[in-house]
Amino acid sequence: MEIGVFRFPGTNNEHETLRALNNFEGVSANLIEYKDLQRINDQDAFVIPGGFSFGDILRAGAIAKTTETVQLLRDETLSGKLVFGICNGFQILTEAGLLPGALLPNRHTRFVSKFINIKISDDKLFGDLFNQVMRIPIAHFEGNYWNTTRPDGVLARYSDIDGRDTEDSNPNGSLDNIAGMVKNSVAGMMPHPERAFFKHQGSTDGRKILKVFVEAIKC
Amino acid sequence: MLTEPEITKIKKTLGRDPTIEEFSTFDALWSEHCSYKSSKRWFHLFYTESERVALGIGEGAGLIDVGEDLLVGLGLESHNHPSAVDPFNGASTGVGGIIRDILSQGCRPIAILDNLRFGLPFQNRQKLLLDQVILGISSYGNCVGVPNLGGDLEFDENFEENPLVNAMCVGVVDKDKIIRSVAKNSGDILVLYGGKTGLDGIGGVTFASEVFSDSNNTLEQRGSVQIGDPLTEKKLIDVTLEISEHLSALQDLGGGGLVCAAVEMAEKGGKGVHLNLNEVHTQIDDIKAWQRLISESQERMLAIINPANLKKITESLDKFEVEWSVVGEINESKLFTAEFNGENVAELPVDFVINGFPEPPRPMTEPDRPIFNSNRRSGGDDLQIALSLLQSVDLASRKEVFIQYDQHVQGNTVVSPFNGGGVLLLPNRKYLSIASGTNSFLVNQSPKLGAELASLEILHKIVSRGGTPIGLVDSLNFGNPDFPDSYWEFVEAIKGVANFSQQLKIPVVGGNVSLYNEKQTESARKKILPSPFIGIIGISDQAPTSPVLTTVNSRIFLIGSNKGQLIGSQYHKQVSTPTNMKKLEVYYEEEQKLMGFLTSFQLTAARHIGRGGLLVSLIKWLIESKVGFKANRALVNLGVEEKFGEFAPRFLIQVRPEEEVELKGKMRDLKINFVDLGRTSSEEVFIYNNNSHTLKELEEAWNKPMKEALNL
Repeated sequence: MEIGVFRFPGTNNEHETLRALNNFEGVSANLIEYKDLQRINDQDAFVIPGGFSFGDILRAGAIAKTTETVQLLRDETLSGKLVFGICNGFQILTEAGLLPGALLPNRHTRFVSKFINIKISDDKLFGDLFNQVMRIPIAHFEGNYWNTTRPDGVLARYSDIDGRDTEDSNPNGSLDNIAGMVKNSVAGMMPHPERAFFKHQGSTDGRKILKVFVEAIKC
Repeated sequence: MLTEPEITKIKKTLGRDPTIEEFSTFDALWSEHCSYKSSKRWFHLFYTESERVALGIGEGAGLIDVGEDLLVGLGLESHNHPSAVDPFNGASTGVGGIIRDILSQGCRPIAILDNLRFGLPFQNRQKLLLDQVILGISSYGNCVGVPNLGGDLEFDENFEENPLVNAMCVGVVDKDKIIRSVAKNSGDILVLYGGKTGLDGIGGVTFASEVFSDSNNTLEQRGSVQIGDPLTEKKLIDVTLEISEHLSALQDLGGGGLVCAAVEMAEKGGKGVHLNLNEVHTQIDDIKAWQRLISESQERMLAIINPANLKKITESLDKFEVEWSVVGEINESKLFTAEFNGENVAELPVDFVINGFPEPPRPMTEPDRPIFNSNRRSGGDDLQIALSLLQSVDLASRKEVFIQYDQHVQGNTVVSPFNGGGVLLLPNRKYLSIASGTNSFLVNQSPKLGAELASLEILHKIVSRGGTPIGLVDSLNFGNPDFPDSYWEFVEAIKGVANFSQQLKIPVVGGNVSLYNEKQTESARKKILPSPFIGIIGISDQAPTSPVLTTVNSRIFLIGSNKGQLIGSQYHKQVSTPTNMKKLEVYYEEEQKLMGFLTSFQLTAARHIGRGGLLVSLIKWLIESKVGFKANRALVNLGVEEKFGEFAPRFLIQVRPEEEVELKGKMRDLKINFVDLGRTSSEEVFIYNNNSHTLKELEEAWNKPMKEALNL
């Protein structure tokens, strides 16, 4: 199985994302430079890793969404290929309209990096993990999820250790504690599953999330 | 600015007046920042040799062998003057600069640490400086994708006019991929790549080598501050690591700009260098030749390459959308020459530019200094004193600062920086512990012993993670060396760091000097507290000792010396001047014994005893661990030196019931003293002598000062 991991100028989570995905048997995760368009068609699924694509100039993801890469990606999703955006990847997917809503600057307009808990709310693509609480790090400046209405397709919500989506457990001001979204074959989340994958990282909950994603590609 | 004797020597040696381009060259290269003219003479005091040292003092980064053909690079630099004038850009370019220093040796940057000093954060200007510096570090470091693994932060009114911003970077490189900053072959060409050269940062090193005064208004000095662009830096990292094997030599453009990088590399190889300044890619057309030489525009690297590799290299540069230009070549002339618009604008002997400065005499005298008298006496019993220290801005939790830095990017972080030092998993599966800082208040009481004891505190953070120290870098921040008292402090502190390195055989592999951190007003001098920051790395084959308590119903032992020292302690600063003002002491033998124990015996959890002493460190440990505790009489009955003394060979360790007998036996064999302080519990409460505080209440009190300082 071939998974394309995109690198835009300013992407900076590509190495740990590749390392995590390649840890699954049968997965070949490939670094794809964003201009390397001819390689896109050969991939079975895609991950847009975190970072600061194009320096997050204007808004996070605002430049990346205008690239031909993201245009092609849109076509790929129409044919049902899975796309998973992590952090900046999630921001790019919302900017591109592939996922509903927007990611505003954090409530305190400060970057926030720490371990938090999320509870999986999606009972379809991530249904195997439904209602499970996971400990995963976040690291972002613009992760405050916003939408005009309460959206369908919430992938995960920030929660306390018991899975309650309390105000205290919301690290950035997101509407309804939303940490990630899923729509058709496209998913995105602010937390970093690839940073809670190996034992040394202090939690391996992220491995479960990526495993579900990888297994869904096989289907 | 060049001094009279320097100008005289230049004219006499050249036998003519220098051109403006030559004058600018000397002005940059003979600045303290580039030449180390006041400090180099002391470097021989450092312990510098160990079988692990692959590259010592002298280039962008020191390199230490950590086995399996892997080297760790480290560097530590100040960016104080720019941060005083433009805190956001000053701090962010400080981070960018030290990353490029590491990159110059071919290292992939894997960690950043920062050491910060400000005035008390109660008034708006200091709050703004603090906030903007943190934002600058955060926005740059996070964007380039290098995790923040620690550092320290201290407040004192003596930093009001001259805040300190020092940054450390650590990187890794395979042994066969090291790049040096030495021009080896005539006929090689110079490729300048990265950001465009502009008018920002002109004369930055000269600016950093002067004191602030009422007449040189900080607003007018904004032009001396560089502007950072982390996106370009990230591309620079990616492309440099891709092309590194095709380079003959590499140096980043930092202080002193293009001319400094070109001439320093030529000098190291005993070669000459010619620059064609028209070729430099610039932000605007109208940049004069001398400005092209010394501009400190950011995110630029100067590579020396064999012309046959140009195509390969520029293909990569183009792929990563990094601009480049071929700006000169290496030759045998041993001269630095430059042309602009077809005219020769500089012709200077390379050796004279690098080594020809007249050494300033630098007299020194120990100043008469009254003993610091604490005027903030806070009353109450020992517990109340400990709680008031915990809630002081000096000892308050730095969590609100650290969560603004990405600690986990790259996926190798094992221990986050909250509890002292951080730990990373290296590509060779070993664990690297890192910590940096100093204790400015302590060093001010006694510069030499203070520097040794402050360095030991950093070392304690490394060994409490189980790391064996293998290398150190320093960054020495002091007042104006023209004044004999400032220079005395500087020399004493160097001697302190040097003795620390000699006694414990930890090699010094790099460093930086920042003098002139003072402001001259008509009535008075205001200089900073002497601040010799050091950064230490440690290595371990095993997963680190936990920085937080991992079990309940275990015991917490104090091991090592019972007493600490009160001079220079937070108790001294905030509570009461010690009645017994005996001299500070350093106990290297005891330190080594404890170090051996902590690094060889697999403890489950340990903590250094830092600012505030035993009682404060214990309470912090409980809050950090979210583990309750009931104190024994043995703890309650300890005296002031035991509870509040600092700077001693002693640690806190967790002892689980099943290992108690074995651990006690081991410590008796090694003649390590221990005291059972009490038992941990699942109930999140701290019980001490019939007093009881919930951890939540303690945590809120501990977090409050920084929240207020940051207006959160």
